[in-house]
Amino acid sequence: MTTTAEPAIVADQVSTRTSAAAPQADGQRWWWRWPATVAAASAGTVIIGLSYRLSAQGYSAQVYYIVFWLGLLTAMLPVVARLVAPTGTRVSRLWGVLLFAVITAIPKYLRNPTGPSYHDEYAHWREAIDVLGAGHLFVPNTTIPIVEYFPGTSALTLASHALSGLDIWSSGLIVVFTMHVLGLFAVYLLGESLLSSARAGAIAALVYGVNPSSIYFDTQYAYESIAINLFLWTLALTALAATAERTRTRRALSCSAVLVAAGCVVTHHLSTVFLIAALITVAMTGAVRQRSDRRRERRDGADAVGRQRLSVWWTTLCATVSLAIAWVALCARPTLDYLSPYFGSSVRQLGSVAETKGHAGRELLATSVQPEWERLLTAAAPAAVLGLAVAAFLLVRRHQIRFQGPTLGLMAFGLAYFISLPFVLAPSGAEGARRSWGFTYVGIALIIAFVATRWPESQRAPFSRRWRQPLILLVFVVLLIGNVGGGLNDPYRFPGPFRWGTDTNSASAEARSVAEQLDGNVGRAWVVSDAYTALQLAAYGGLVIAAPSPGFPAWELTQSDTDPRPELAQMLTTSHYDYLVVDIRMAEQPAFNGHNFGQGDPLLGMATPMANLTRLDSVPWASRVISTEHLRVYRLKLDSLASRGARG
Amino acid sequence: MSMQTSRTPRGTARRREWRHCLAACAILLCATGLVVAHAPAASWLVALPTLVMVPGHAAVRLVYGARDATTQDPATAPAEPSADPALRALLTVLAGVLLPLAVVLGLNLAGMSITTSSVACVVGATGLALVCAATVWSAGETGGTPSGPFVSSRRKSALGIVGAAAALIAALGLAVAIQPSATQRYTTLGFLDANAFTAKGYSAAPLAPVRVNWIVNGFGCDIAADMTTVQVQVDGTAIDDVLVDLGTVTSTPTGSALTGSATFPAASQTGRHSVRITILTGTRDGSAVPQPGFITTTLEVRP
Repeated sequence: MTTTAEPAIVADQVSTRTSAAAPQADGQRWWWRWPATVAAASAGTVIIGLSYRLSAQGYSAQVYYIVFWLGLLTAMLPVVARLVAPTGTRVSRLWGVLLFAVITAIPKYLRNPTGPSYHDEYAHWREAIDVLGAGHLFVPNTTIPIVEYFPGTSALTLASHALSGLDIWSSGLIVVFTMHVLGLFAVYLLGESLLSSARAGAIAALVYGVNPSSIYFDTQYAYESIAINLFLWTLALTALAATAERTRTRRALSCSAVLVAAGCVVTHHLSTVFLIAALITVAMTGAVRQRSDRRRERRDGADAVGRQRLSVWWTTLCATVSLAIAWVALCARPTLDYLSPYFGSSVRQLGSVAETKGHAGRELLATSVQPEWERLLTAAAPAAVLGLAVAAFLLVRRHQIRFQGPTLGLMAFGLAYFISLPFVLAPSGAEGARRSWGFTYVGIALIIAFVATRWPESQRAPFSRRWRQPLILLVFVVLLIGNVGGGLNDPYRFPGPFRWGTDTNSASAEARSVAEQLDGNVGRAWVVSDAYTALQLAAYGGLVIAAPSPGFPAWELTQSDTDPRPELAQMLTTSHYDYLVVDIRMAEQPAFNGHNFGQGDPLLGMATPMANLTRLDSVPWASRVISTEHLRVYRLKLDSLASRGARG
Repeated sequence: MSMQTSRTPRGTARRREWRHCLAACAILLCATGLVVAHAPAASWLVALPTLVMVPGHAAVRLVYGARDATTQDPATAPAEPSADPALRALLTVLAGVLLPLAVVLGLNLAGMSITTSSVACVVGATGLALVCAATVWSAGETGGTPSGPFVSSRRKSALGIVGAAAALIAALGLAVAIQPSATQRYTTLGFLDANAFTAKGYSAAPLAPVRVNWIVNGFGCDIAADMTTVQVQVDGTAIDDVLVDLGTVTSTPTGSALTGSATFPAASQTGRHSVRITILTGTRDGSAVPQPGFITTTLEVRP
């Protein structure tokens, strides 16, 4: 006999009602347990802070990793245990999701509470400052040029700054934190709506909250951190609209979903792409499921139970696509040029990785100081997810469960996570693959929530009730540690002593002072610099930084022991790149990231020879106008070299 | 779950709604006034949640209608999403966040300058409009006192929420406080003259005095003028005939700054010459300080 997901879930609701039948008793338990949960979260927060202190002081990675996980697990496990428990009221789970959301925001907040540190954070922080200074949106951004065309983040930051009086950085953090908390509630509502159980919603929120991007990448001050939560809310509101009985409610929810999608469109390109992909998957799956349901109805004479209104999903899809096309056509034309190389080159590189048996690919966790056990769990996390997906498939087959179209569609969207995994081996695809996980994990969260809440109660079934809770907690710990380990690298996660060649730990007050001093002397100058110093020059000095490429090999100024070719000198002169900023620490050790000027750097994996840098003090085409112990600012005078090229 | 009409006499209910409306408008006006008048930051922290939550609540009420929760079981999700107090609370925050986004985009589209005052005024005005519209269009829909998650347990759990927030904030504060705060000590040296930053550099007649102004900034250290020495080289040769003027050391928020100049005779031969100014500095307490090295420029000697 074929069943739908809903009848059994109605039983789950009944059990929830039963547990709430004695609200006073339950409330008392709720009250005496919460102080302990909050105390654990507070203690865990302090321990996380301690791990950052140890890493900043240069302790062994083995030490500070253990302390970090001790802190995060201390903070999380009590609330996780509460959320996955089979008993408990909806109110209790909602408070639990709130506390869980706060805990997942803490590691990133403590990483750099007072100013930008991540690559994208520098770009967005500067964009907000420039917008405030200019009094209008769409201000050019030198670090991430596409940011100019997606002003949602700077608009929200400015609004927060205007209404709170806080500085730009704190205003941005408030926006990101608020959206992060809202996002996990969206997953809760999605899980609750599609799997018809508060417990399923809570487990979905938990699983989503530990996706590889959640704890660090999507809590940084950047456009994706805001837009991904609008992506989640669009899906959640559409799912709720599809189940609403009253027309007014359905229309209101549907309109809200479209408005939220509009917010996503103006905030982040990639989130919009994934939103459209998710909506297409859901709408198409729903359409196929609807047809098969109709055939079944005709054949068996049975009514489909609780059929959702698929038109709501199509409405959101059509509106989002229209908004995205309109935005790109009218306001953000460079978006297509920006995104298209990533898709094409990653597919090509993946092909070459397969053909050359990995020689063209990336070495995973290369130059990582991650402890062995964290690396193992990083590999185990996708395997655990795969195992749970197989378990879900077996569960569906054995019990002949028929999901409704949208539920199935979102789960199918989640399976794209497995398709993206091989792309981490391709240099261009790795970034895209990692970025996709924050989106596809919403489907993974639903799959895992389904398995966790629908596993048979029978004693004969594998993992009887006695072992189920510890097993769920174990899987959670594997996913948490593995996914965080597979997300961002050590310098992004932990503060530390100066380390050349990282976006985060190469930052120095010295570079910031040089940026401010150069800005004070010459204003918004055009500058050639390495990838790491450039972040601070752009952020703190508002300087325009050259983007070297094979067609514009500005790296020749330092990565070669000869004078720049006349063609390059001409390009630099005509584009008014008048300054070169050099950090001599690039000659002391190879960059952690492997390059000093992007992937086109001719000295990939090598330190720049010191002779290349010291010769700059003796060439006639450069004068050192600002100097510190480590940084040197040169005024370029390439006219004569350029004119030689023009004569040639 | 269908909405139930109020048992309260219609006139009394409407008067109560308008009283609430007037109170909300007054709160919005006060919050906007605080922001526009550049009140101290502490009072702005009250203004932010007000200018987010009040318009957000009004927008939700306007779009979803007033909620009748008298018959609702707070322990479970209602069958109709719009009756779910948790969803309404979350939508209030979401709408409250999206409204300022729309306001800033709208200001930009209208060609108006985006400033603290313009954003606050338009958010406040939009909030007032939403509150009034919600009161007019959803009049008579409301029933009993709302209850449920985030609302029914509000009074009961307020102390708990405040306590939990205080504990977490205190823990965060402690975690931030225990981070090592080593002040970076370094010095920067740069030209003060604008022509050093041009392609041409300095120019002078043969043997004419050339004055080069420079600045040394000390970060995390107090530079001592009497511990500072200046050397000048022209085309790699040290010049002895240099008049060094060391100004006074001034305190800066991050340390100290020393401005000075070096005056020396230009070369006798015409043409382009390279000039190098090397500065070795020290600190008042005698501690070692990273040296900034030297700066270079070109000197064009013309007849």
